[in-house]
Amino acid sequence: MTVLKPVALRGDRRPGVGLFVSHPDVIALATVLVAVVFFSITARGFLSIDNFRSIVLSVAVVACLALGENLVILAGEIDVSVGSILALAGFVAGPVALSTGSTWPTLAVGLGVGLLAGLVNGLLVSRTRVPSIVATLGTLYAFQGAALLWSGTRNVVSVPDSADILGAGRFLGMPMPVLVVLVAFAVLAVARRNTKWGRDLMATGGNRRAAGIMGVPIRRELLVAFALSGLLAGLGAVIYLGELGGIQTSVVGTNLVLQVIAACAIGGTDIRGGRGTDLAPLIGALLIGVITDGIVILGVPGVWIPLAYGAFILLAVARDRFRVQRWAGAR
Amino acid sequence: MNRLAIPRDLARSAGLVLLLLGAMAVFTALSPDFLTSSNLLNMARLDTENGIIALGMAIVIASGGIDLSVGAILGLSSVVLGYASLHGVPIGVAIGLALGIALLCGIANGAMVVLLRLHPLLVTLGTLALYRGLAQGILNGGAFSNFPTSFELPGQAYLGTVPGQTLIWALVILVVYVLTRMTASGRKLVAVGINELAARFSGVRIGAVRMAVYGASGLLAGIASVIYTSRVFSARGDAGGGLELLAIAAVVVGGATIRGGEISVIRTTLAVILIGVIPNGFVLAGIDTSWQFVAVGLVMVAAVAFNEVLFRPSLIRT
Repeated sequence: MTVLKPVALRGDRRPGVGLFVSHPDVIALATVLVAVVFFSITARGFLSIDNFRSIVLSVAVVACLALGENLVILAGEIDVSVGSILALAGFVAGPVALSTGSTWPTLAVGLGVGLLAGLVNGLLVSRTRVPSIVATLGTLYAFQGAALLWSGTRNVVSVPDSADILGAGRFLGMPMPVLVVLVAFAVLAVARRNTKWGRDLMATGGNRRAAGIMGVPIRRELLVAFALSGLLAGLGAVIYLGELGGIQTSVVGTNLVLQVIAACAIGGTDIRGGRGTDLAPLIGALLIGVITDGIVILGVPGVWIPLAYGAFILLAVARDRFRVQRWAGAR
Repeated sequence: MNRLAIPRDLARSAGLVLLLLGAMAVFTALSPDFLTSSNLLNMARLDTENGIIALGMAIVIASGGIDLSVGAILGLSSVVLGYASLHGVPIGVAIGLALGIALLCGIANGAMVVLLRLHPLLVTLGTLALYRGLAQGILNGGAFSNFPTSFELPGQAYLGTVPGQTLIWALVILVVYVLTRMTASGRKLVAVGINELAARFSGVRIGAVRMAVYGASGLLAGIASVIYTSRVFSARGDAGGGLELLAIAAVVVGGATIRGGEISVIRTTLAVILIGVIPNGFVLAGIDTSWQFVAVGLVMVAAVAFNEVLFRPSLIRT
């Protein structure tokens, strides 16, 4: 007599090699490794500590924003206003850096403005019925306008060295922006994995109706996710100010947010919410940095870079399409 | 459709018309140059490209999807036009090529959404970058503007005092209106947006509908591209940046839910005009143009909140 094994029992199998390789972080990291190996072979000068340092530095701002965006996406929503929040926080905090010449007030103002903007998004999404893509599209324009108004359409230039600890400084050989982003990642990852808030966040994105019935405070989860996204965009603004020594009105665009969302998706977070990892935004941002850097070293004109981004986004999304059925552990 | 359908639609259109009239009244009071036939016709001229693209977006959103790549398609299509013209292709054929490429781009989006069953937001985010990269790469980041004078027809011609492209816009509005309101295809489009599964069981070929939807969006971006390229008489790879967000804004200000299943050609067009009036009025009234972004954002959130709160009380909020 043959024993039929119920399909449902497949979930009971012990973690093995198969489950390990189908983990989204492993797949996303493998993609980065493939890109690194490819460029190491083809691009002379790619494989060096200095170059690696410049890659991680170049994507620190995108990674910082993506950390917040990832939380929003995990909660089943989307925040397209992060680029505008960065601009607004940058233009408000920039003059503070110029006048005080010190990091701490700049940081406080940048984070404060970011948090405030994030709270506006969070309240709009959690208290009205406006879908998040529409609400944050509206605030994208509103914050953009506010940033331009505050700046008087003048660029902020030459932020003093004394105020750019978050931008140009080093600690143990690592650039400060990278360390700041890693610390932010560690705090978020620990909180997301070990607190009720973190589990409720995944539930909110996974199945909102079921989560609501089970007593998950959905409105609060959404408010906190958007507030954190704004806060991290404010942090990104301070890093940006320090790293580039200023902020230009031309930053006030939509390119940044598309890169941020792309970073989360490439890293393996499901755009439909509820599935994904804490590491996804960092891996995605790293891949974006590796591609940009590799292409530049290869001597390809910069105008082609978006083409490579596009190809990688599509490949990553298609890759995840075939992964999702096998990977069940991320919930 | 419930019995309230007609008054609800009327109320929404009336609300939008009132908002538009209110804005125009304010700008008329602030500037004597606002309410002149030449200014109004000029606005209609400049709104045409947004208007045509927004109609494509309205179709995509009605089907429950989204298309972030329309601005990049406009850029690529424009560059193809310039590149073909640069290599001595007759301008008529070049326009055909540009429209063909735009249609192809749209169909490629549709194919990835349908055949690979990928999320449209990510597919079109990817192709946004892909098409933009192609557009910039083909002309190597430069521009082409040596078009023959006959190419002034799509974007610089006037019939009396009426800009020629506004007539094209009107024609597109008519075609899209008839297709979505009076044909079986239009009903299928809305059916897919409301409930995909139910539509499938009712015999609607979902895949075909979605392919057609993204193809239409691409083609409309191509038409807008020809008009745009002719108007500015220059082909550049970075043309049309950020247009996708304006188009989405127009559709949602027009009252269609982003969740799909609704389309209003007239209200979308009204919303495009409203979004076009704001910067124009601000400039004429001498207000800092940065305020226009704030105003557009506020109008958008207010219009959507208005629609969602007043007209969808039956939705269960969890």
